[in-house]
Amino acid sequence: MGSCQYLAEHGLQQLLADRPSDPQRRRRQELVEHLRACPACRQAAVEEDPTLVFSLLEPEPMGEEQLAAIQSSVRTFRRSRVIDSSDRPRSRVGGTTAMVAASLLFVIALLPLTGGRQLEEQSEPVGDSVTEQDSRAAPEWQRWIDDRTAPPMIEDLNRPDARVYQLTEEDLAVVMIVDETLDL
Amino acid sequence: MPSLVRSSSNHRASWEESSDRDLMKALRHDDESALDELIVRKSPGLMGVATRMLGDPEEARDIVQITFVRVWEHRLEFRDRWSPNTWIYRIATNLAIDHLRARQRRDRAMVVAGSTLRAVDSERKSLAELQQREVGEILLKIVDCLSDRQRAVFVLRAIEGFDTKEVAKILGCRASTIRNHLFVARRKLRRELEVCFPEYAPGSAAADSARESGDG
Repeated sequence: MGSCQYLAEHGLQQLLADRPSDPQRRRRQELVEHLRACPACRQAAVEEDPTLVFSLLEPEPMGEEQLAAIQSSVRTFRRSRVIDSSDRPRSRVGGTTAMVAASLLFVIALLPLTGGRQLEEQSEPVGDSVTEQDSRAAPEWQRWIDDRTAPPMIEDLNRPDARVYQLTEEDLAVVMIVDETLDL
Repeated sequence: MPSLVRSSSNHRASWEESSDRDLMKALRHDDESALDELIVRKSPGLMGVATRMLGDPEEARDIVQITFVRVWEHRLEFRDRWSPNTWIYRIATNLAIDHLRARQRRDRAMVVAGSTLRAVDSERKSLAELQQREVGEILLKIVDCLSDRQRAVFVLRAIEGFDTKEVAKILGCRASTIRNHLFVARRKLRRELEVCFPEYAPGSAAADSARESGDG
């Protein structure tokens, strides 16, 4: 059992060295292969450090079928992700279209109430009635501008200091939840 | 780079002489056969790491598959100065660590682990007779005593044979941190072996104290 001189000559540092001067992988492999084959040295090594027994574990061989299965799964998964990601811009465009449509509807709904100069310039002149509408609708028009420039509050929460805002900028929607009482 | 683009029918033979770096270059040209070759080359090692870290071959296979999906998705981000091997193992190890962290502690598995070790212990097999499979099973059972990072370091360094610098690159930390993790991991595993499987931990406590005083 104790006749092998390999460990006496080479030591176990190939396996135990944790310091920067790491051994070459080839030399480490030589030691591992020797320990796998030599019961005496293996016993001595494990007495030195029992965890070395785990360094002698050999990698599980993988058959061609297993590898082919992984290749196939990766291919399928990858392609499904491609389909997913190609769907995403479509749904984004759809969302943008919906937002634009909603904004247009909102503007159209406001049209009879508004008398702002920009709208007036783009509209057919309607004489005095416009002036009348102007004075009546000014706060409404102002509110519309405020709505477009200030973050609209979209939801009240039951917490008195909490508010939810939604900001829409082109195709980007940002939702902000503001609650000063939250301690993060 | 036309020379790197191969037909899928004979890609296996044509890639055999190519380096990992050549394969990464071909990946950047959307060559799917290069990915297939990488899968053939790297899967056994990745499966070993993932299985020993997760303790479940099914989960390990999932990690390996997702690793290669990530390799493909991020192929354009790969830089020539990086080591393909380190990069791929880094992806896989991070996935395995994330998976470990997401998984709840399995108390039931610990009970099973104890009984398995006692069963193996009772057979009184010599080390020479102890089969690879049994050693692997013992490791899977006692590796739960390690943190995610310690586990990754032990598997990569002590089992897979990566050197400290490589492990540091894979895990994205300093070499000194790796050495520290490995030292603690070995000590914890020795103690687990001593408790659960004493005949395979001869003189473990003495070795510990000698190491501690020596490294002190």
